[in-house]
Amino acid sequence: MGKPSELIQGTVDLLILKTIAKQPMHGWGIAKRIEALSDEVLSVGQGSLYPALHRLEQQGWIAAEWKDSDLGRNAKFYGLTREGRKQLEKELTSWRRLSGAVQLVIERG
Amino acid sequence: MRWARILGQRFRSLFQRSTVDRELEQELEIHLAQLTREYRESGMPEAEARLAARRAFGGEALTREECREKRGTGWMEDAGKDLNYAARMMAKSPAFTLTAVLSLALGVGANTAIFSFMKKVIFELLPVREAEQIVKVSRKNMLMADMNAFNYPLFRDFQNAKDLPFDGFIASTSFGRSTLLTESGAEPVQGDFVSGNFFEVLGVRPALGRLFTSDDDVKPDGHPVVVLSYNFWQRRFGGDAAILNRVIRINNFPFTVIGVSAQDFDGMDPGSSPDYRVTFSMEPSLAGGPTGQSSLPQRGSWWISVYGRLKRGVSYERAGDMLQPLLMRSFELAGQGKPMTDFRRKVLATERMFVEQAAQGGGGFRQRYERAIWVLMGMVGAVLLLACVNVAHLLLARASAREHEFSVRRSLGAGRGRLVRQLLTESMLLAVGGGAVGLLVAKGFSRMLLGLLVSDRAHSTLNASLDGAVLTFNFAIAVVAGLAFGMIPVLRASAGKQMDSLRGTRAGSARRMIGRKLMVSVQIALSLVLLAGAGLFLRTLSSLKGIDPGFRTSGIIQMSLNPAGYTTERTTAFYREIVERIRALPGVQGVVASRQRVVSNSSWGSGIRVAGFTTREGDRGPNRDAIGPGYFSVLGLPLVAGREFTAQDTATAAKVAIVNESFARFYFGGESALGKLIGPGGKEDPDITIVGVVKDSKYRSLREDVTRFWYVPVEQVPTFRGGTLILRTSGNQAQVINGVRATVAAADRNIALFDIKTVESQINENFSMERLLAMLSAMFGGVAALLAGTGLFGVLAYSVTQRTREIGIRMALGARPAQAAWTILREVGWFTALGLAAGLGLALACGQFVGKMLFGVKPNDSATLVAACIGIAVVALAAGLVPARRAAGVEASVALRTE
Repeated sequence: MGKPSELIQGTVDLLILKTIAKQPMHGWGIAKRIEALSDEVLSVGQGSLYPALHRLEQQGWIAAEWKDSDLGRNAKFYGLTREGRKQLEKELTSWRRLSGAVQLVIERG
Repeated sequence: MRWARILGQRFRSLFQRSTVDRELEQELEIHLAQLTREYRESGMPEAEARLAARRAFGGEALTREECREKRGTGWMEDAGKDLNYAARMMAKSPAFTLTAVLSLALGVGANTAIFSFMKKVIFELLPVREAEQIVKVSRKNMLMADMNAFNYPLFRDFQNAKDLPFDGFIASTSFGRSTLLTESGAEPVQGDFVSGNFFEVLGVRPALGRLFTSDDDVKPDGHPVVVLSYNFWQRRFGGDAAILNRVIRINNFPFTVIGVSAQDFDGMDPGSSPDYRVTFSMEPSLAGGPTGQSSLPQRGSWWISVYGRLKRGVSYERAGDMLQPLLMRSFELAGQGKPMTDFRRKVLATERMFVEQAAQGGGGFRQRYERAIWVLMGMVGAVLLLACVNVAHLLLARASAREHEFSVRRSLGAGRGRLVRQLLTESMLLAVGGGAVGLLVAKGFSRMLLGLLVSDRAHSTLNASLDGAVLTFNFAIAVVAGLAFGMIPVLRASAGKQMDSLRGTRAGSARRMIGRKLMVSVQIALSLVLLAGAGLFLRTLSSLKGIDPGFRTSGIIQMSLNPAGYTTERTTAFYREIVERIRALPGVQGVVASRQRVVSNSSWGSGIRVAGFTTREGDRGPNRDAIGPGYFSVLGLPLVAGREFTAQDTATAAKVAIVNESFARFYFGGESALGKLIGPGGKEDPDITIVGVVKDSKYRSLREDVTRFWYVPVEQVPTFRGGTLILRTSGNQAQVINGVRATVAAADRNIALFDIKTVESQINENFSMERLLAMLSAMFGGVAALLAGTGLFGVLAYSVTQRTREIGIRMALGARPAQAAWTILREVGWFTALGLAAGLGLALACGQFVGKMLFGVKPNDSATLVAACIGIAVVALAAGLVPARRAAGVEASVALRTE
């Protein structure tokens, strides 16, 4: 198993928003889930995860709440706000366009 | 909704910082714990798992810092730190802080005080519904530029006309002195006549009871109801609601109090408020009396002010044009059946109606004070500027002292922006401090202004209160000032090269000094303008005081009274009786009744017919007064020819008149006036014989040129009621006044005495504005010169310190101490000269604006300007002397050793 790839700056936001779209999660859970869903290819280190979470919170896309967790103690759960949901749609659209374009270049190149 | 969430977040990050930080810590700790657990579960021993987790986790402090940064409140935290630091710096140098805050407070406070007057007198809209629609209705002709005076029938025509673009016309007029009768006696009060719709059209609400409606203004003498002003209600009745529906007696006529008008509503002339208002319908009984004529039906009486509410979208020109036919028709009706001179016809042809906006009211109070307030605003603006420059000097001197500190901070990595912010924070702290202290200055200063400006305290509604707008103004100018002077050291600090200062060299400082010296020149220029203004206003005041009124003013007391409702016979008997009794009082040397007060800006204009003399077209005619026997000896006005009126010049005796020298010269030239026949304008045959000629004197005010004047005996004027008692006293005036009060009350306890004043205090009152301007300009001029002097001193002292080495070298090379001193003095000379030149130009420019307010001196009066220049030069020299002596005392060896 190779080392998980570092993420391109900017995609972290998208991954976080997408990950917590179904239900609010705590930081550890988000990191684990991204790793699991990407078959351990992508890893979000705490050094980029928490600043990103705090930035998204300040921007009003996500909201946090302290709740009982599966970790056996209170944890800070992040969930999407209504505006966050819209933002996620926007970022998904632009991501699809971007990755589609990259794909095209690779296939036709 | 998102912004609310964001705001909430920022708020939380800022004010619950410790909670937020703790949460972050917990969050990261959970993450680390989970990581450790994972390693442990994969089979590592506890200690190893922990280490591995730490490694995998990475730099925790960095993450924490980054998270904090994302909160976006860093700048605020920095600001907090800057503020804290700035406060500590200021506390450490109390002398600097005190000087800066006080000079700023002086400038800001003076501006705020004047602004509060300006707002009330010039800017504030009338407290009425949609004030911007209110217009003043006026007329003009070739003789008069602006008359807000109409006859009552014409006002009614305005009201009744169809299709005028107005939502109502209102009228008001002061009927001045009237008497309120109470159990304790008679009190002087001031009332206004208003049209019944006055309050309705304006949209003024009652503070108590109800206000007039049109139904209260229908039948002459049919609506004895009165509305009190809020000011009077508070002052006289202590705000007692029981006054409602009570009957009060005004001029011995019963009126029912139906209400009190709104607190903030003074009337159409904001700044002073009448005591009460009645409708025009009551004019016949209140002003006319049994034999007096009512002015209501007369188209020839132009005595009421008219305002209107103009419909939206209608131009003033159009509104005026539409009123024009009504005016012309009124003239036609008034002139019916009377012959008209060609000149009169010519004047009538130029009669024009016009309307002008009156959203701020349209009274004389504003006209009188507007210019003075602007001049004062200019003065205090200059003082503020001077204060700012002084604070800038102080800050610059400090900045030089702190150069090392800044260099160290910059070499330690402080960004340029960060330093600028620090400096600005300090300036802002000073500004806000200055603003706060400035409020106290403003409060005291506006009290003083009120005392100087307002003579009729009782009816004035001006006050020294500081409302929201004034507070805003105060801090706004403080902050703008703070930014202005704060920028100077900032520019310097950011331009300065850090290494210079660290190395300890002083290169470049000579160049920088030029800015500071120019600042001194600006100060000198402004001080010169203020000093020149002070000189002009002081000379105006002294020329006014030097005017010879033509009679002896000392010991003369005037008071007004109004036996309204008396018959002519009773009036005659009444005056004879009280004059006789007052003459017997101790301390009274002489007493006489007359129609007019002297030097009180009032006059009784009159047409004139002189046998054998054709009056020139457009001649304004002379002024006239009705006087009792012995009038001229009481005033100390010498007769030139003929005799005074005596007790024998009664209603039944032959009609006689006395004229002044100007009158005699104008109408009779070299001939003797005695025995000539004259009469009031309009009458066919002059039938009054001139029996005396009196020396010219000032009459309405000391400022006026002497006018043609003629006098008739009071008893030969059947309409004479309200008048003046003029007393020449010696000894205790208070005692005399009490005696007069008692005498009048004994004759009729329903008659009040108004405006009891000595002629001297009357004259002083007439000059209150000039005195105010003279006092304040002298005060501000002095402050300005002082500020400029300290500024100059500071700069020179600094300059000597900076140039110690240079001077030392020169001394070592053989320069004499006098030469060293001369170097400094020459510098003073240059920058003073520059400042004076600029100041002279400015003073001449400003002179044009104050020209109208001066008397006996021209705005470009060279003596005044030269004196101001000399004053400044003396201050500059004094400021330069100490530094020059210090320069002369530089010891070459010492100076060179210190480097």
